[in-house]
Amino acid sequence: MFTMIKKVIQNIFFKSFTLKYPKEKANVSINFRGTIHVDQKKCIACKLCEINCPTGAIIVDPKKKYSVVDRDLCILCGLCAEVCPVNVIWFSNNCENAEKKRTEFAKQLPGPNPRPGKRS
Amino acid sequence: MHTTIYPIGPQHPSLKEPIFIKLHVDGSRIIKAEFNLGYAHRGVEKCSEGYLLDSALHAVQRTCGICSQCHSMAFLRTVEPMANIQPPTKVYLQRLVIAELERIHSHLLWAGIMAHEIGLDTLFMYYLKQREHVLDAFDELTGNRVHHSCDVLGTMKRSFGKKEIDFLLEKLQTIEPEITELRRVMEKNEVIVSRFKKHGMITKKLATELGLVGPVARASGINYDVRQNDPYMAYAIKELKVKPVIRTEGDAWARSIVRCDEVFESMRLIRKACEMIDPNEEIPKKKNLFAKDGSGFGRVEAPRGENFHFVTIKNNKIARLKLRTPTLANVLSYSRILENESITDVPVIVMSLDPCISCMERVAVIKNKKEEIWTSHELFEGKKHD
Amino acid sequence: MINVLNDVKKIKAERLISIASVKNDDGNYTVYYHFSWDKKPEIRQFSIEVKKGDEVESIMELFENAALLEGEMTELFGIKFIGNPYSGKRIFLAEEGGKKCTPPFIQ
Repeated sequence: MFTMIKKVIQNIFFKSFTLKYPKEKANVSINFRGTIHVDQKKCIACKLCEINCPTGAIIVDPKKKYSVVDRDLCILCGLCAEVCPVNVIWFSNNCENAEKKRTEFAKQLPGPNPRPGKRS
Repeated sequence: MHTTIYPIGPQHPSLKEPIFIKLHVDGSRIIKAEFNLGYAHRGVEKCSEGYLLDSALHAVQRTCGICSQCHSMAFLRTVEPMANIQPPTKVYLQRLVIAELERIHSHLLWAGIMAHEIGLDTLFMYYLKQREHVLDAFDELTGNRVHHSCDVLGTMKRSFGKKEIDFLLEKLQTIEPEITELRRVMEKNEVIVSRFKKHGMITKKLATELGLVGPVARASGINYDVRQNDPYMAYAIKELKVKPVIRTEGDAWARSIVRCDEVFESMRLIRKACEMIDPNEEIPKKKNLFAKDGSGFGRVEAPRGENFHFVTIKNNKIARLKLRTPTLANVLSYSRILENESITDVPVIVMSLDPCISCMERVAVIKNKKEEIWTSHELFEGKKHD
Repeated sequence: MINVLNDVKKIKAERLISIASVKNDDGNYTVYYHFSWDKKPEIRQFSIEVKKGDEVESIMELFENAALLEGEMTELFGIKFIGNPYSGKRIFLAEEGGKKCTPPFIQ
């Protein structure tokens, strides 16, 4: 009986646990794997990421030294960032990446890494 | 005697995942129960043919969303001896912390949905509020809330430092008093006790005949836990020995109390393991491994029972992968324990066995904005995806 | 028909864990049985060779949980088990117009 009265008073006077999204944003950790970025200027086209990808989402063009990620097929597992020998692939913690058309997923995101040396 | 057929599922508001149960009913008493499976088959075993070892590890982890780390650990227990590599102790301790956190989050989700089935919606909200703290801990430690994918063959992707371990211990300190209070509600509340006791009885003889595993068997008196009988990875260290929770009543109430007590045992193991981790030590980097041709097997304790993997390797690629999940071992008991019960008890009994239907499989493909069910012969012609 | 029941009785196992099968290079199959003794603890693996189109005796009299494991083998590989009511029924795969699919692992 007394525990119930204590809980009712707590719920009336203190702030609620749920957030009013989209006015208040959720606090996501900085290590979260949200979206995938590739720094094209430093890529050496060794094709290790293409061999190891479980779904075949990343395709490397060896002549132009350019790698294209299909963000519809990517499952954000982090294996490509682990095997890359020059640390070119990195993840940002943006968790809002819904699009209205399916063709938007073929666009690539900006390259330069704000925290160089930290991967996955 | 005139019986009517009463279907439950595949789409039903009280089931988490699709399963079809056909009941033959006379009045409101059940005479016979049959079941149909195959609404969530995704062909994980066929997809893994021809993959490299690390890519297969990341594909196997995505069989189930609730119990993903246990599939990863069973695969690693099978393949790491074949590749002749033994990781250091810190990697074993980190894997134990993630596996026990997953057990806590799975049991809290089960308890919440169980309360929702009876109609106590506020209790459902309280359980899920405690589960949010555990998911925040996963976000900080591994990088994702479900599908953690923090393992590679021989090592892990990240090393836990002082900041992560302090965050984890603070979260455990936040949830412990609340879970103690909720366990008292599960044991003594009159509504819960009167609906759970003496329904869905499994005797010890039936459990031994059918070969049941997990908390379902431990609530009927069978003393079997893979972490105790066949210790693996960090469970072989002397200070981290597991004491399994055993009850003898065999009804739905006993299964609930076994799961609530396992949460406390997991919290004790996590605190002990965090004392033994050295925050300044480094873990080795990922290396290219070569596994010998042949076959092997390994088993671990998932939140629902014993998980068994059998792997055949050829040319450093996977040739055949077979998963035997704990829900497949327990599925024959559904039709036995529903006899002579009333229709109104069916959601409580089916949920007390804790089915995880994603760990069984089917395929549906969406192509050109039209959904069609493809025949397996058309789909599996050697292409990885379409 | 290949007889396995007498040999399995001599092993005196406590529990059946799983039944799996692998396709060899020459087109025949190898079926692996895994049995467990919980107290010791120990797992032992046994295997038999099955040619294409052969039938195997079912071990449902001794171990009742072989029902769905053998049924899955018939559906995915095409090996029939005699004495098992689930062998030959649709368990996991999709139906095409009311008929059963061809087993995918045969090829």
